[in-house]
Amino acid sequence: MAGFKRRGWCLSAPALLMLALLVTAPLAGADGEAGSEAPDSLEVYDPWEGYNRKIFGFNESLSRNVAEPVAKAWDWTVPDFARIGMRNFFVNLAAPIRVLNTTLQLKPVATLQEITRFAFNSTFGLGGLFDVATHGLLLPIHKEDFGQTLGYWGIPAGPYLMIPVFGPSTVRGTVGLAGDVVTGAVTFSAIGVSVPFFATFAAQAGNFINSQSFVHDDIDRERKNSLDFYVAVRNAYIQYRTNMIRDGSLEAGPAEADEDLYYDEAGEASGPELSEAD
Amino acid sequence: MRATRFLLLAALVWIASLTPLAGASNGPREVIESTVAAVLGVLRDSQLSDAERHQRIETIAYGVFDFPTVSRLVLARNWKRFDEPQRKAFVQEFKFLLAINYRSRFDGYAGEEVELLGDRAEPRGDVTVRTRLTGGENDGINIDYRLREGDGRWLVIDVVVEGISIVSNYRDQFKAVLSGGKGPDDLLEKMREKNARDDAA
Repeated sequence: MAGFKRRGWCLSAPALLMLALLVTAPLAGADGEAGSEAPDSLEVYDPWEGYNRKIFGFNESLSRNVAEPVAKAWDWTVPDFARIGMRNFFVNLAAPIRVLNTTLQLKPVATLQEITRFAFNSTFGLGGLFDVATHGLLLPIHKEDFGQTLGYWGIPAGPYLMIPVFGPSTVRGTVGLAGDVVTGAVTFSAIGVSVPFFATFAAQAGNFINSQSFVHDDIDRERKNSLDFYVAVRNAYIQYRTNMIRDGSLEAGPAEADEDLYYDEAGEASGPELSEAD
Repeated sequence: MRATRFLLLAALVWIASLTPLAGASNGPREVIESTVAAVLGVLRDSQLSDAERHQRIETIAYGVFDFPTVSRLVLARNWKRFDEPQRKAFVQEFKFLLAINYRSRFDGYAGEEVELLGDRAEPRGDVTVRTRLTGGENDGINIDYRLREGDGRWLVIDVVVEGISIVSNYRDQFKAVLSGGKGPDDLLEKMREKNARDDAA
């Protein structure tokens, strides 16, 4: 961050960071998460479980006592079209991250589509409030971020890591998140956008609450449906990110390793064994 | 020789032509189609109370999931640690737990439609039917159903929402509950507590 300042860009370091976060957050998953996992393994490597569970507990109390009540109130008071418009706006703002990462993953068609999407949504979509690219041009979004790019190039996910406030990630995912933060900051300062720190902060907070307003019910439902919520979130996060790195796997089908999940007779292949098991 | 080959070929063609017909009434795709239609029918019936709606969706779930198979899959290697009565008890509790989970997913229903995207044959005989929600807040969410044939019926053995498999998720949770010296009875106790709580809700 200090490097940007020395080169004379127009934003202070904290403002850069906040602007970048603002741009980054919509890319994160449904629960405001970011990071990624090795494509071929659903085994969870969680050597820091003790620490992670403590942070998870902290995040949970923050979510239950602050984020979810506020998001719920937002959900009830703000009409759907306004919340969706706001979500669209922030997703559109994060287009540079998707352009960069589709490029880094050698997906030229996706890159072109992201550039086209950004052009159309920023203009005809009134600054991104309306997602005309998806609904009018039938150009799908490509949710590529730096964590996925690292996974694409075979960088291992490393240990599962619970980040305070942000939520589940991995070591690779955290590096990816930092990469996206820098991407957002550099793009916007390069085109000379200057936003006061407090405004960036407020926008980021608003974006976060607005994003949560779509999922607060889901979070609560998953909490109630689980026997061990920490494990449920960890598993869901790993599966979600793995699926994203494979770009949905809808056409390709799941990896061979996944098949073992469905055959208990496969013995060894049927999930990691417990130490207590005979 | 030629005649035999021709007859064989004719027989094969005949069998091949029959198979899709035989499967057409209750193939994996049709099972999902009719289940989705039934669930949407319940959700759109504004006369129903919350309790009635829950009750009906649970009933639909009971008819479409292969609970014994799913139970084995979620317990994986731990299945061996359960004796026969414990296995029966587990299937019973898990059946209820899964039905509650299934019905809870429709509580926020806001007029979404379900689009059938197609199906995919898995390597060892299962079929995955792919669907997508359209409209509402959850526009574009992908839901895949994995089905397996048993006794001539196709039943669901997993639901995968945006790449997240319910079987895998519960497997990890059960593994965690069963670790650290805990045994089948501890897990069953925990499930009973949870189910009693949900039943009251």
